[in-house]
Amino acid sequence: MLRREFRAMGTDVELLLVPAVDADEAEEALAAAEREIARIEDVASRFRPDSELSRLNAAGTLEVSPDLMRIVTLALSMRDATGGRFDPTVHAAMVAAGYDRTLADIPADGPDAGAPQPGGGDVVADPGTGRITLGAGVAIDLGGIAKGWAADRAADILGMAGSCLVSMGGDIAVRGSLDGEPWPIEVEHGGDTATIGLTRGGMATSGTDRRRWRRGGEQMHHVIDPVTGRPSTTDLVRVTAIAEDAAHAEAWATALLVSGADAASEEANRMGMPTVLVGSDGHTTSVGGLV
Amino acid sequence: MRTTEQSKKLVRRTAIGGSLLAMTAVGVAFAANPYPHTTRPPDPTLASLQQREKVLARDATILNAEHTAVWDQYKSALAERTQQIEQINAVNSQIQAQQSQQVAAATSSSSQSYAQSSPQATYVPSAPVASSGAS
Repeated sequence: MLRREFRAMGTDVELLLVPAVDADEAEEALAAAEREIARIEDVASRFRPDSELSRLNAAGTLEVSPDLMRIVTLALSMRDATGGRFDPTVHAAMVAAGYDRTLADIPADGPDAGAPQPGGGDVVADPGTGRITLGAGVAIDLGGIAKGWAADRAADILGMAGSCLVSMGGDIAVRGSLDGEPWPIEVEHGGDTATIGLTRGGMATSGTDRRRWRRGGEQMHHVIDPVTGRPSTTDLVRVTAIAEDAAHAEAWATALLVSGADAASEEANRMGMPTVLVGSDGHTTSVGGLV
Repeated sequence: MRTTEQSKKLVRRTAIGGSLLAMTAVGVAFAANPYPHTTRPPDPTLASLQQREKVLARDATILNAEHTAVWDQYKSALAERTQQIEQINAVNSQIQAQQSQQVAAATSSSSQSYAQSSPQATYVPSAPVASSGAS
């Protein structure tokens, strides 16, 4: 199995390939997958002032590339599907909470976060004209779903050279199997770990116990509750969701995390979505048919 | 004393001279007015203009008729196009309504459809090759 590791989109990236082609072609596939991730970062990063997303946020309206149109329309469809618990328009709340730069550059403490910035902002994305228009004061953050999208697209490319796994900081997409077996992926339980075999699709974990800092003495994290416009106060610290691809898994993991343990458990079971819920007390529950 | 023969010659010459004189007078009069029975001679320039006027009037009539026909065609095409646009808008409205219904139906039945497309995943005893830690 070939492995390539690098940094992109503010996280660690791993490409695993069980090649079905010769060595040169396998290396070329790995390089192509890496280039694809870099290309998507150029489109969807909110930390790069010259990215297409940054130009859209600055201008309020823009004719965008098919990539950005697809990611934004997917994010908006997931906002609808999750009843607004996943929302790409929480950009202002992210910035207000202090997440206005890459995580490595966020100071450990800073001034008060200020007024809440709820989501639900107006966004009109018209694939027919290729134009996206934001409501007044609205900006988009594609953070997690863009990473999932990049993992899916890289897996599409890498999958042409064999079975593969792409991990974008824990947002995982797989194609094919690992020597006929599911891809074994480690997930954190309360104080322990377990391994889940994934046969297809994607897996993502969203948590409030990573990416933490303080503002005005208050603990902050990057999972914004779109209803309150502040970092979520959920009783879950981590949710791992398994869906048809990494982008959907990322959106659902965030939505279920914000929902809280009881609602998340009920919803995952109702949808039949394999999910791991880790409570703030460390109690871990596997739901949605995951055994 | 002139003889009789001389007198006869004189009479003939006088008659011939008178005839010539009369003919000359007629010639001069004709030169002055070659058409003594008309009040004005025909003016070729005026006739040409009058003919041209008739042609132009006829052409204007034809052009007006053609313009009217083209204008009628334009109005007809415009009305037809307006009707087409209204039909397209009506179809678009129907499509949007159907899409809204489909989205609502898909959302309400997401539990069923998701369960059908959800990937298989189980806990396994294998050593992991990757980790899905919180990002």
